Amino acid sequence: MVEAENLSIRYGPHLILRDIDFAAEAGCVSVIAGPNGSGKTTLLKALCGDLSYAGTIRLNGRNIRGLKPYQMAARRGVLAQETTLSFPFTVAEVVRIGMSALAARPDDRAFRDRRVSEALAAVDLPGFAGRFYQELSGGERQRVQLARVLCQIWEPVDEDGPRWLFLDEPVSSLDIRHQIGVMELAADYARRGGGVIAVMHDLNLTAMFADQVTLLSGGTVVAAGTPDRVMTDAALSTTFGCRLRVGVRPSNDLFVLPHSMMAHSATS
Amino acid sequence: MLQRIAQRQAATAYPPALQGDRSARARFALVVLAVTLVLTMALALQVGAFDAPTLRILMAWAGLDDGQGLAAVDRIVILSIRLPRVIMGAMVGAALAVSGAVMQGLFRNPLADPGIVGVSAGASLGAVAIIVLGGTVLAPYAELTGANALPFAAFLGGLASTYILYSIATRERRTSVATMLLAGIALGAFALAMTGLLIFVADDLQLRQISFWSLGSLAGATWEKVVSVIPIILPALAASAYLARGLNALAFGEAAAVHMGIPLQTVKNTAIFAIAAATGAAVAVSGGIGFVGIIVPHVLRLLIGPDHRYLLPASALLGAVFLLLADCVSRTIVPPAELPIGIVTAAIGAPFFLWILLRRRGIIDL
Repeated sequence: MVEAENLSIRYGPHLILRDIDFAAEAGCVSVIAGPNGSGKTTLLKALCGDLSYAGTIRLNGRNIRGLKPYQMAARRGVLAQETTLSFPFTVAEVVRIGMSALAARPDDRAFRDRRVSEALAAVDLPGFAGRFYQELSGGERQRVQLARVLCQIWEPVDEDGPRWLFLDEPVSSLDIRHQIGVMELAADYARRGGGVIAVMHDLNLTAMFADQVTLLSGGTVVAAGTPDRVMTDAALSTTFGCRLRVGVRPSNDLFVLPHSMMAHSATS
Repeated sequence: MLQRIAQRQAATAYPPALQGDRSARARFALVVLAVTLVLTMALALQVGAFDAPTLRILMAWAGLDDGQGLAAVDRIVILSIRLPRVIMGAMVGAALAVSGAVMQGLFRNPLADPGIVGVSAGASLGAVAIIVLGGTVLAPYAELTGANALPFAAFLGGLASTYILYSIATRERRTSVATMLLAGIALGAFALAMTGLLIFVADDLQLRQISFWSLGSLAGATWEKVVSVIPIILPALAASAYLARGLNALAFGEAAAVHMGIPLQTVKNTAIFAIAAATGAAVAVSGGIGFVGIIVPHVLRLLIGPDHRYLLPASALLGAVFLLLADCVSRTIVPPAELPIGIVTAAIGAPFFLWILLRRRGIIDL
């Protein structure tokens, strides 16, 4: 379980998160949603241990203030919105570096090579191992980075408990096929016992894949719970400041339909 | 272009288990470089204005030859003049190349080099300070450090400038290349000004010492000098071995490196220490020798890739080879005089640096 209690974060004079509570269970895909500037990424960064904060954050019951980087790295992997790479590594080298800093690094070379291939297959990039990272498109790079993160926390559960996948807008640079592919990969990680916390902009993908949604606005939690409770016409329209309709598909899944703001003002 | 050639070679010349894995090729390169270094050292012992039966003298030295018929003067030339010079050249070359590679890893930029961003100037300031003030203001320090006073002062000067530079160039966990280069220029100019001030107050004997030292030559190599820099160069090379994984992760940015489990502050501090120690030691014994730290890691990245586990040891080996060859050129090109070796490395290095800059135009973001 990942929990935050009374979490506050400020950048200079600005209070980005105000005294919020947050919880995510292993075995679930937990999505953090909200408009630009609502504090989504800040919350995820705080959970990663990147920021100084007031309050308490616990990872599998342990206060993260007391955890060393290698201890955190053994329990959670982080996919940032964007990762720049300063030297000409190949895709295979990038993915393998995901394993290299771990205290419990697999020693067997053939085993590591196999895991790199498996991770690349998992993000639908088989045959990319020999390519240079800097020659890839934005979406391909993002998936290579996801493969690197997967290598770091390959088994969703081990003797010390669940592992966690922290994703910051994981699908923002991907085409729709790979958006679904990456979300299915995350859902599968959760189904096998791991935890997934994802910052998402796409409300339809959120409705499809999230088990839990936390809706942020202005640095506070507006609503938290299952998608069918949180994602209502009123809550979404108020939070995002535009008219949104939530519908139910025959399969009982939700979908979100945006309405033109101009049409809205013309008819009302 | 070169990258594509390297890529094609990676795919054909040494087929690795996993495509895109250049580690087998890198290990092979390490073996080749080690052999090359031994051959280059042998060559450097043999080359010079004076012909001597080098092999027999070395064997006699090692107790493998009875030494009959060997002239004492040959022995002195090889064992007391050329051998320390060759060992010193190898150590300095290794130190310069490794400090460049570590600095490029720390700043995440292939153009960072201690010579360009003022670290060498800081080290020189430390060295000149001990030459000028060692008898007066800094006398307690000079007594404390004894024979190591000069290299240690250069190390401290390099440490101070690296630390200041990194603090200025890094804000909010981001290292700005533009700030680094500009701050490096300012720091270097300040160190140069302070050095000038010290030269201004120096007496004639000290001036002679300073000008001999600052020529950038291995000509003054003695066993004492070799021994005096070993306690600084060896820890620097050892520290760089510890740094490899951290620098690999740091290529993804500071936040990502921490997410992968790297103890960022320790890695940074160790890197700063290694850069300062290696630069300080090299500057202390050989004055200003430029561009080795840029050329050597850059060529190696094209050949074996940027994985620091191989790049750092390979840089040490190729740096040693490069400097020994440059020293051979400087000793033989205008006989019987010697061209300062700094001229040779700069003549090769400066155009090379410009070539990297031009090739990267449009990618470099100042």
